[in-house]
Amino acid sequence: MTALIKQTLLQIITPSQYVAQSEAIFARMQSAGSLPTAGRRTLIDTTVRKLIEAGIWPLGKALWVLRAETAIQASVNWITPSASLLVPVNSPVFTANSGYTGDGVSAYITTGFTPSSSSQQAISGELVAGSNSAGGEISTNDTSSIFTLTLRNTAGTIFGTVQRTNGPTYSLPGSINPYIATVSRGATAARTLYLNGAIVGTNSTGTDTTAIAALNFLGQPARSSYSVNTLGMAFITDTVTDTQAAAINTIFTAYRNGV
Amino acid sequence: MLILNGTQAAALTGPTGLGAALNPVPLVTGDAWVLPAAVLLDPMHALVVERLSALPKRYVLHTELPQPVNEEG
Repeated sequence: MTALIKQTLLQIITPSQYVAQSEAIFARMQSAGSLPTAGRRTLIDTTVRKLIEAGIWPLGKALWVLRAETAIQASVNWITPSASLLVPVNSPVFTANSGYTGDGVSAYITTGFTPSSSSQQAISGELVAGSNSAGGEISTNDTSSIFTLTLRNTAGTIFGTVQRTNGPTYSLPGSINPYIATVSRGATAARTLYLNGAIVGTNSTGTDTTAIAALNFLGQPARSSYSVNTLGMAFITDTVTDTQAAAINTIFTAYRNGV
Repeated sequence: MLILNGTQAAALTGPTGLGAALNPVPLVTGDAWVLPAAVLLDPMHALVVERLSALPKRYVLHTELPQPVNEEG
């Protein structure tokens, strides 16, 4: 009994080793059925702390780290852990510590997250390129040909845009894989595309649009468009600066190296 | 792939009870729908696996599937 009292008192007076944001993530993962291992909890907490220190966490609207120990852990939105979990549709393949891979035919993931209509947003994603893919890795499920929020890799070319048709593109050297890409739009129409934290393209052409559908991963059934690539991370934020885009790359590269 | 008629596609569309969902894809002919055979082995569809197992299977040509709308730049 004494030992139990001591243990209880210790839990009360000992501050948590994790920041509150991480604890909320762990609580959600546990309630969904999969508490990360101690080592993974430390890695997640380190990642969250770095995002906070870099001033990126407050910009976050939604963050899924699919490079997780289990599919359940991958399905939790780190920014709003109480939000609905990801729903895999038609069995995209989950690989522990890698992410989800599409089949290029019908598989995708619904997020339950509908982005805001703001034009000042950014998308970051960690992609592991497969073969020629027509599908959007991170895309709103738009029914028209106008992309409103998308980051994708089509036949080795990264394309990204925010609330505007057209967008910067960049042909990937085959040696870069996996990679972290970010597309960000600020107060002007210019969208900037980053590869592993460095600017690789800009585009100011196209037509603005504010139509927004829910965000999907690996497929847009409204366009019969599906990916065969692997998605390791997806992060929706407000506009990021060049410095913040570089920090996102650094932070999630460290996470990838830690799994 | 698994082949479904319209009634089967409608009945199997949506959540399957364990956190995953199904969404059959219509063939371009409009008279049949398909699901990837992988859904049969996915434990997240265990609650409907008997209904899935009863569906006919055949190889589906790429040209039978709806082609993606693909424009950007």
